[in-house]
Amino acid sequence: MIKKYLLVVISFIVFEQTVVAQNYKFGKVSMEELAETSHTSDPETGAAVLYRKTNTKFKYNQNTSSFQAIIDVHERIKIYSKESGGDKATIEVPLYKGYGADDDKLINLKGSTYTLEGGKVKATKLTSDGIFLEDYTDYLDIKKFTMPNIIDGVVIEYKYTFITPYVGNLSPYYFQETIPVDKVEMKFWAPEYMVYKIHNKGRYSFDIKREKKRDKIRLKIREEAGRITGGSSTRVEDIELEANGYEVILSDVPALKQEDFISNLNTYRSGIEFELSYTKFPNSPINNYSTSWGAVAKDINDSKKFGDQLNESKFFKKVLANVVDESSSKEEKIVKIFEFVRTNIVWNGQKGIYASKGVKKAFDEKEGNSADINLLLVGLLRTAGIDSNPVLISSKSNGVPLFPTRNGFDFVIAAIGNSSNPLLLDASHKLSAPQILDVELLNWNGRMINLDGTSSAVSLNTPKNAVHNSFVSASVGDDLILKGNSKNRYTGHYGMEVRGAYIGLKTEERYDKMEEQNEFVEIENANFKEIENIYKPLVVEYDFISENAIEEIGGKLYLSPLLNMTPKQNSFKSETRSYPIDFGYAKEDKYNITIKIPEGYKVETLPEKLAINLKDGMGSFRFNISESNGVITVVEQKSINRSKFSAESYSDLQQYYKMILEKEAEKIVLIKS
Amino acid sequence: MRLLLLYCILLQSTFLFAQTPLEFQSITLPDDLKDNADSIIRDEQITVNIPDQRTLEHTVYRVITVLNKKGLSDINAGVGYDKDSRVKKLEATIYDKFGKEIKKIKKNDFRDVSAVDGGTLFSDSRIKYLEYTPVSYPFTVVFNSSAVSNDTAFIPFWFPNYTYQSSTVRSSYTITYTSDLELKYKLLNPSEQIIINESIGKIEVSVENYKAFVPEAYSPGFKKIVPKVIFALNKFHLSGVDGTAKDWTSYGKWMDDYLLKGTRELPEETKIEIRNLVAGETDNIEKARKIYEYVQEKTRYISVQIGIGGWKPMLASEVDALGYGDCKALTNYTKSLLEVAEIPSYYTILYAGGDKRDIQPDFVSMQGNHAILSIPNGEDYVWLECTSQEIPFGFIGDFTDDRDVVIITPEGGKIVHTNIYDHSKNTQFIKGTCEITEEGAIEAQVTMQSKGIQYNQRYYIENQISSDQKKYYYNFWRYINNMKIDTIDIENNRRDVVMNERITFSADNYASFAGEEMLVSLNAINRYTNVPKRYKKRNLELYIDRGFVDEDEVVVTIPETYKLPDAFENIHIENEFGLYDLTFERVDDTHIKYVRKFSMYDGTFSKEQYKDFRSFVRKVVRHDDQKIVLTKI
Repeated sequence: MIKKYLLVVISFIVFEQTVVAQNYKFGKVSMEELAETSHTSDPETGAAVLYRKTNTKFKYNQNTSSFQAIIDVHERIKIYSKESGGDKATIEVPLYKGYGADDDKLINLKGSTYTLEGGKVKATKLTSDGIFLEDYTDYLDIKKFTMPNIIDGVVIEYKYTFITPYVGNLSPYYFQETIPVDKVEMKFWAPEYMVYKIHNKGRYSFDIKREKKRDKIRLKIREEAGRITGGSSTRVEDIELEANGYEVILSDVPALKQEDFISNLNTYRSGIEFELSYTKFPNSPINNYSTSWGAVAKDINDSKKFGDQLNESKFFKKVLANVVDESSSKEEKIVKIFEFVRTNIVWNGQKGIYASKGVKKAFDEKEGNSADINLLLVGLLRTAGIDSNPVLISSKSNGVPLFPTRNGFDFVIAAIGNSSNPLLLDASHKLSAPQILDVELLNWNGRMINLDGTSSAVSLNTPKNAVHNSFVSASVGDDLILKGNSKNRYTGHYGMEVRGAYIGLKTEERYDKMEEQNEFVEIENANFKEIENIYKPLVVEYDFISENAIEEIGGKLYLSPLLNMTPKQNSFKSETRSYPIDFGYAKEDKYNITIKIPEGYKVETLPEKLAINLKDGMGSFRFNISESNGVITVVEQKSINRSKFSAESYSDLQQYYKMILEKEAEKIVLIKS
Repeated sequence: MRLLLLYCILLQSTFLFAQTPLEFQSITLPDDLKDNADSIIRDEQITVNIPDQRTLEHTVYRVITVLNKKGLSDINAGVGYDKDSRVKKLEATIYDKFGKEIKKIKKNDFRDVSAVDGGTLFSDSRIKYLEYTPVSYPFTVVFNSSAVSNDTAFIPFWFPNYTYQSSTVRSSYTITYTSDLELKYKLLNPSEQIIINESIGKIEVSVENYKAFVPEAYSPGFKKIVPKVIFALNKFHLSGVDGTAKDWTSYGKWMDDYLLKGTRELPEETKIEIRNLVAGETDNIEKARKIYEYVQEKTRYISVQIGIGGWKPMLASEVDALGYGDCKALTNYTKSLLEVAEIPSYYTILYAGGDKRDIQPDFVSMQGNHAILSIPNGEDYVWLECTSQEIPFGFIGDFTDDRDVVIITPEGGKIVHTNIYDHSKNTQFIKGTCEITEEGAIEAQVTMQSKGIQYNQRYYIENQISSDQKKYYYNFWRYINNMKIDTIDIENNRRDVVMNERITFSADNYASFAGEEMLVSLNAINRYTNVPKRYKKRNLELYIDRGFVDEDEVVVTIPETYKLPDAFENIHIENEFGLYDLTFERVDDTHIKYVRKFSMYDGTFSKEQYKDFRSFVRKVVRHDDQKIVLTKI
């Protein structure tokens, strides 16, 4: 009861504090803000955004005959601790360039650091020696500035105007950071000619206030005088229009916290994104931008660097002549073509939905980005008469797009068959077998673009669990040294993962790596079968010796039924969880272990059987053990039947692994017979 | 603590050599050079020409065969440049394994980017480098570059190979110079394979058939193993300034006159502030402590490298106004404040990093990649790391310990050695109690006190947020599952450089069961788990860079329903690598106390001894995890 009362009182105080009026005018940093030594609701944070304001409006640029977005940014940040929050005093703003007539610009940068000195607020200005422009690449500059005089407790404040011609591709406005945001105000005024759709993102919800106002555009019109008189004059013409306003005001947005097993933290970050839906300028037809996934797909398909790449039939035919026979079966053709592209064209590591050099040049140079490679694959398959289409994907680092946009995709693969049950092929990741896509690509839905330009969603889920089967036969010698042989078979993503770890390594390096996994075991005669053949399960066979597997205590022998072959640590250490858990892929591990006990010993006790099921069939564990004629047989099976789990299932999963580890830690006890 | 940009820009360049492409095949390569190699330098010809004090021409012709993906980073086809240097020629040609040309890369097709590393905010150095996606292995790159610089303070050095797992068929380096500039050179880590020919105005270095080798655990670093030839002029030039490096005295004077002098003016207010700060304090070291802490509170590390900024510190008055700077700026600023309090201190140049690397004491030249400050204190020095806001006064830790450094005194430069933390100084003392419950859970209370390098390894956790602190302890006790950290109480005694930690934790299922028996490792609190890697054939010396001493005194309580074993075996192992001592004392039926001592000594041992060392550590690991059986009463 007392605790409850206390809570009420505390929340009352907090409330009291927040109603104190803040002055958010630029330069009006208060004594209170400076005197604060820790954040009220997040006392451990090194810094907090006290105030963030962005105001976006549009201006007509007569020189380029297009609208620019003008974004005024004002930010006030409290730095409680220089050590943990000091990085917030250095700001980097990417400025894109070279994509068209105009580039991004950052102007009117002003800033100060505020400190409390002798009971007074003192401002130290940001000067040019703290401002830099880095020529990063041909398409990107980075404006960097670092605030002066950063000590514990300071408040920094800066403002600038960001001008961008890329109005169809505005960055999201974020309300959430990895530090708390105390107050944020976002305003966005779009002229009636430019119609934006609004998309909310993140887990922290907010309301949008909409309004309208009258606005005008001032045009300077140069009028040529008559030929004879010569000269010209300029007159000004105002065009009246309506502007649509959107406003978000939020207080006390909690910090975003990083956790393990997250595909992309940004997915959960609160913010708003404006999508240019269409433009309707006076006396012009409507110009539609992305409006539906179908339209986006069509738009992409219409590009020279996409759809046109699939129309190089003459070239495809020529290539195909050396790859497949007319008489081959459909299956043979698919395998041959896929294998040809996979093994002949090297992926340069660049993602992309557009061909960077084109299928022909990529073929000649034997190298290209994901679009070069997989569009070549689709083209060859189609030319061979196989029903094949490209599938657009948004990889995990690209996140899950909020609305239909070309930026919503960053990868393209190939598919055979219809969208409800396609065979997915990626010839860029070299260890990717048919239907087994790289884990980074297993995100959201794919979008298949059909021959006629229509498109449909495609599920990227792998139909089957990846399976690791392990057969171990071991025996304990008189010297109490455990010797044995282990034969492991890996399918699906397991195969891809283990291949990725061991392919290209020299024998010695493979041994080192295997011994790193299990420090008490010495490996010999390791053999990796089918490591190059992605179409077959990977088989890893080896002999092992362990001096430490058997513990002799008081004349008895103790050993773990799984012989230290399984992980010993619970990956879920944290006590709480905020965001969903991503395992990458669904998986199953099966162990079948036989242990021959040494002469002169017999079993005293064996661990008991155990079966655990996670609810809704999300996972299961089975442990069985028996002994006959001096041979102990252990059979263990554990599975995680989905790749993603909600944050709410965290404690169940944690408990599940805890029970498994507890069972695996139990000992077999042998005594002298 | 961050490194300053190494201004040793590799200026490289072209060589016009007519060679038959047949030579670029990589089907037949010498087997002994393929062993352990990811790449093979087939032919390397480097020339450096110094016609006068202000001109350094550098050309590189390199034929390198890349055998696999890991060898890609060995191609090293790039040239750094800045305002004082320019790239005259740059090109590369790629040949497939049959020696057929597959691609030609011209100067403008090299990627040109700002040479900013992770720790630097801005730098005007740039780099042009080759970006190439190989279509198959092996392949061969023929690289030609030529560059000219006005700086002669840094002359490209020479290695027979540049990294682990790379071998060399032949490599040569020829330097020609005007003799009055007085060129000197030194061969580090000498090997008979390295041939050096000297004549008037010319030195030639070469090697043939230099084999690749792999890195090994507990071995000296690459730089301590591989031969290296370094060069320097007694009369050199750096960013518009002529310099001299005949001996450390004159070198130090030059440094002082041209790079440091006139940089330490301070505003009057700051001077008054400092005088007030130290007023009433009589001891110089105590004054210095106050000033150091003032700097730590006031500044932060921001690296901006413009022009001669690579070597000349930013003005103290600027650091004073902006509150940031790099290692040179912050060191020089601290020195300027100490001057106000009339405390002498020396700007100090050294090589920083976990690998102990000396300034070559008998080779006077521009060396080092970091700056710290030293305060003379009798026969000794107090060392100040000025880029860290957390490290205690006078403590330098494993970033700058135990190495030769140059101090710049008013009388000129001088070589001195920084503090050595031998094993006896790196201590961790633990006192703890553990209670094992009937269900096999554990509840533990631990107090830890650490000093020296062991202090160094954890002082930073003091200022971490609690979730990160928890992560630190989860990892510290990673062999215990289901751990719940209940309380964390940290006291960082910066004055005495002692870290005190008091932790309580609990964990379910700590013990395991076998029928009626409970198996439990008594040592839950401090287990050594790191077994050194096994090598079928060890090739490199055994090197323990920093030793330590651990002492634990722990009382374990078992549930009353269980019985302790009748006897416990005490362990004592002592050898040249260290000491392990484990002593048990039965307190009563439910309490057992153990005292564990584990020391590892620093030192260098032969490669043959590695096996014994590994066996020693394995024994420690095994005894640390030794389980006892509790039987149900």
